[in-house]
Amino acid sequence: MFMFGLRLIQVQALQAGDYRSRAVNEMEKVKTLQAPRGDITDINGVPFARSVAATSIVVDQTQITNPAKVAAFVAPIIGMKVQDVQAALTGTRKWNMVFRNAKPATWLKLSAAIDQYNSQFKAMSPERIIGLFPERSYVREYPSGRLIASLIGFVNHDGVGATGLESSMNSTIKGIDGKYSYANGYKAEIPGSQSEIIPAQSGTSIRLTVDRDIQWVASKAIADVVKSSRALSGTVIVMDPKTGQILAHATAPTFDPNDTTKVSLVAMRNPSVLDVYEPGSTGKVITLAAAIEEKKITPETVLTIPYALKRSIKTFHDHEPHPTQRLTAAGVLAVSSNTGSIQIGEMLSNDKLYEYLTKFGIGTKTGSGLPGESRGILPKVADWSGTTAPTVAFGQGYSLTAMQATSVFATIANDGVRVSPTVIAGTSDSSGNYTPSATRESVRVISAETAAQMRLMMESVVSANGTAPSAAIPGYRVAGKTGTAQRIDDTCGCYRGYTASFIGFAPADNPAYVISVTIQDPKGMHWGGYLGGPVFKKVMSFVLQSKGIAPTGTKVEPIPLTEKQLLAERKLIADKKAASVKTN
Amino acid sequence: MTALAPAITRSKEIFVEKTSLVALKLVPDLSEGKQADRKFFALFVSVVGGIGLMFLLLINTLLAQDAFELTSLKLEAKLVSDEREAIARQIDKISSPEALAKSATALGMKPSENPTFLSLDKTAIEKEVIEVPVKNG
Repeated sequence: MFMFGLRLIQVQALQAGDYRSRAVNEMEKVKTLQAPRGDITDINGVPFARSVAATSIVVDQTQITNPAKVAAFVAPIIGMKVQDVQAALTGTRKWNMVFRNAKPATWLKLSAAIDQYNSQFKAMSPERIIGLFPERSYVREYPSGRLIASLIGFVNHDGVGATGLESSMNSTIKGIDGKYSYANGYKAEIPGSQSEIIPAQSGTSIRLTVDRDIQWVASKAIADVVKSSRALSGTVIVMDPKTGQILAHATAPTFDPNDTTKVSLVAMRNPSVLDVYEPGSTGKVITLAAAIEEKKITPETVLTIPYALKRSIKTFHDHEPHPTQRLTAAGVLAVSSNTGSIQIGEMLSNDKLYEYLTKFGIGTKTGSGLPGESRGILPKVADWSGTTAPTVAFGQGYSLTAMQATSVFATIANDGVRVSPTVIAGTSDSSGNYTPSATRESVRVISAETAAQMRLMMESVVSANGTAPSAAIPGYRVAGKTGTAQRIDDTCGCYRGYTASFIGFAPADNPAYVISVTIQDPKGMHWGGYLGGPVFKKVMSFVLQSKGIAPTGTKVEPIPLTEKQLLAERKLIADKKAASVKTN
Repeated sequence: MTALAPAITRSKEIFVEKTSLVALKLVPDLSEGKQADRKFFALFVSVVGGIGLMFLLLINTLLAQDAFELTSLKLEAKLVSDEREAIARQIDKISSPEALAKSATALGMKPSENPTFLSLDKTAIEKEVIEVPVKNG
């Protein structure tokens, strides 16, 4: 009795605190409350990326008495191979993964099947299947699949953004995990014992400026032309020139972010901001805009255009042999004459030409914020050789991204004001409060008058006499420029292959949207007008319809393209004037 | 004073005799030798304590029952949320542009190649598609 009393005092009094803390440690557990990542949606809230509940199926291997039998039962229900399940069930671990991130419905199905199977046995029967448990988590899902994969990117195995916006905006999108404590009963949490220590906070959702329907049309169009021309890649960008908002950002080839196990690193890139190329003839708009702004020429300035022109040690040619012509500046742009562009470029000093290139954004990032954006390549004037200036004048000798090229034309469409592009419309916090993005930065590059003259000249490109009549949209005034540039091959450091492009906007007299189409290394027919024009027309037609942009109804007064047309027009005007004076 | 001493002594003796007689007077025996009864009090305290403990048990039982129900409802909420996500997936699939394009094609519709608008005076603005040879550039 005495010893019993001593022992009682020892346990209840002296060691009470110790036993109490041991009991708490064994019974009380702390668990992480996983927070879901924010959604990435289109402008209308359609999800491009979202976090959905998933249930991983885990096993306590020590409770599995017959792994082969249990695997044979479980595998067909959860859609796995029997041998894979058996391998997961076999061992002495208290926790092992059987099926990671299964759909919740899969666990429910398995759970119901196990309950039904176990109901035929007594409570402690060794025949019962026990030891399988669910663990809820969140998994990232991309409902649109391949549609906008190069822009959105994907998350890796640990739920961290690996590429695209998922990566560059990871710190914004990811949630903050919480914690809660609970009392641990026999194989389960004791109901009512849960106590939230730190609440989980959902990540911020991102609303893009992209319109899913326009994105789909653009994706399909560029995928079709890349396939038909056996090109390396292609991009389509649709931009609102006034706001810089990007309505579509389509690339081909692309990948499915829902399954990245077999996707190459090349396919995961975003070529619109990562890949640089020499723009070719689309760069001529910068040369002509600079010359008009500096009052060196007007759209009706007549120039003598030979087929070939020698400068320094090199002879430059136009695309097709032709006799020496007398073309207006508008005509030079319409037929995309290299020799004409060289002559116009020579009216500006190298420094002035360089200045306008940088003002149009060449050699600097656009400010889109897209991850990995390249600033392009623009050699400093001090590094220009005798052939650099002529080359630069017709769009070679410097490199830019498709995004920069789109921004150049958006500047002309926006009355000479360059607005930095963006794909982010706004963000919503975990409470659902929406905050629109700040207005984009803008800078005036050329005057509104110069921009208007450029737009008028560019309408000729889409006319029957231009290089891209395939881009014309009946009823609308459309303006643009084709480009067929020689392409640098990194393997040899030489020109090999072409970059075909068409960039334009509509309605030309009141531009609502700019669309750029760029196709890298097409095989066979490689002309910008041939490949890019139809893609532009298809996408722009859809955009104008879906956005309800009606034709302006104005008539274009085409600028004469040749000296002959110019003289004829002037004679007509003079005759009309004389006739009206006579009448009066 | 010494002359009175025998009288005083006698008075004291008589007083002592009388007071002792009074002190020794018998009084009535009311309880007949029994102790005061505490059973009722003990019973009362026990009943009150018992009722209190029963109430405590009842409240704890109700709390535990509600905790189980709360857990059950939370689980049900999770299941409903999972079901909603599954339905949202189905809706996304059906309402996707490719599914809509496929359905439209199956109905015999064709995508419009050229936008057509009606002006306010109800005339259609239509233009012919002009086929021209493509020039390179």
